[in-house]
Amino acid sequence: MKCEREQQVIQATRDGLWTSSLRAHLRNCALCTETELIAASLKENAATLERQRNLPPAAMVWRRAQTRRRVDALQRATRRPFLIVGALSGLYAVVLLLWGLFQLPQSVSRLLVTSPGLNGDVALAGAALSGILVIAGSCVLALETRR
Amino acid sequence: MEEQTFHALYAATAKPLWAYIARVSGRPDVANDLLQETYCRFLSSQLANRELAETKPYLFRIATNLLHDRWRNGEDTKWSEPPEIGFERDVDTQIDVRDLMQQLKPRERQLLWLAYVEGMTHSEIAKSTGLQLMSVRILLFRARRRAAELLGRKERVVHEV
Repeated sequence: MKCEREQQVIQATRDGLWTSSLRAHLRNCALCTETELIAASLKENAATLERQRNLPPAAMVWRRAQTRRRVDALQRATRRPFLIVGALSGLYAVVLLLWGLFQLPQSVSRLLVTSPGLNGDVALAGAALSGILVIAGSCVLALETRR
Repeated sequence: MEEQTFHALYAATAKPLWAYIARVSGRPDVANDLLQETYCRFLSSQLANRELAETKPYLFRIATNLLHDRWRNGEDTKWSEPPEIGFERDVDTQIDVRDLMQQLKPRERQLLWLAYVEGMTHSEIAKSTGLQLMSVRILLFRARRRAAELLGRKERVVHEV
C-alpha cells in the first residue's frame, strides 16, 4: 500500500509549508496521516536533540583531520623502505640459516674443547649471534609494519 | 578543501549528522567520536571538494559504515541513552519518541530517520546505506508500518487514560 503524495507530506512536515489540497488529502488518507505522525514526531525529536547538544568545534575537527592526514602520509612514505629492509633482512636470515646448518655445529664444538681466545670460531659464533639478532629485529619490523 | 570551506560545510551538516548517529546508535556518548571520525575520513577522501548536495549523502554513508562496524563488533547492542537527553514528551502528540526508537531495530531506526527527518528519497537512502533500491523500499515500508503500529498502540493507551 502506497500513497503518491506521501513524499509531499514528508516535505511539508519538514518545512512546514502545507497547501490546502495537501491538508484536505491528509484528512482523507490514513496512510499519509500515519506518515505525518511519524515524521512530525521524529522531526520534533531531532530538533530538540540538535538544540541541546554542544558539538565539537569545527577547528578542532579540522586539526584532528590534518594530523591524521600527516600520519597517513608518513605511513605511506615509510611503507616501501620498511618493506625493502624487511625483504633484505629476510634474505639475510635465510642465507645465514643455511650457512649455520653446515658450519656452526663444528665451530661450536671446537670452541668448547679448545682454550678460550679470539680465533676464527669465536668470530663465527659472533656472526651467528648477530644473525639471530637480525632475524629477531626483522620479525619485530614485520610485525610493526603489519600493525 | 580549504579550512573556511570546511567550517561552512561543518556548520551545515554536523548537527543533523550528529543527531542521526546518536539516534540510530542510541549512544549519544559515542556520537561525538563517530562524528569526528566521519569528518576525518571524509577529508582524507577524494570526494572532499564536491558540492554540498553531493557531500551530504556521502557523509551519511561514512557515518553509516562506522555504525555498521560497531554493530559487527557487537557494540551498541543495547540502547543506553540516558532518559534526560532529547526525549521530552511531545506535548502535542503525547508520544515518547524514545520508547518508539528503543523498540525498533537499528536498521529500522536508520531508514526512518533518513526518510522522515532528513527527507531523503529512496535512491538517496540507498546511496547512504549501501542497500539496493528495492531493499530500501521494502525495509522502509516494514519499518514505517512497525512504527505506525507502535505509535498507534501508544496513542490508544493515552486516549484510554
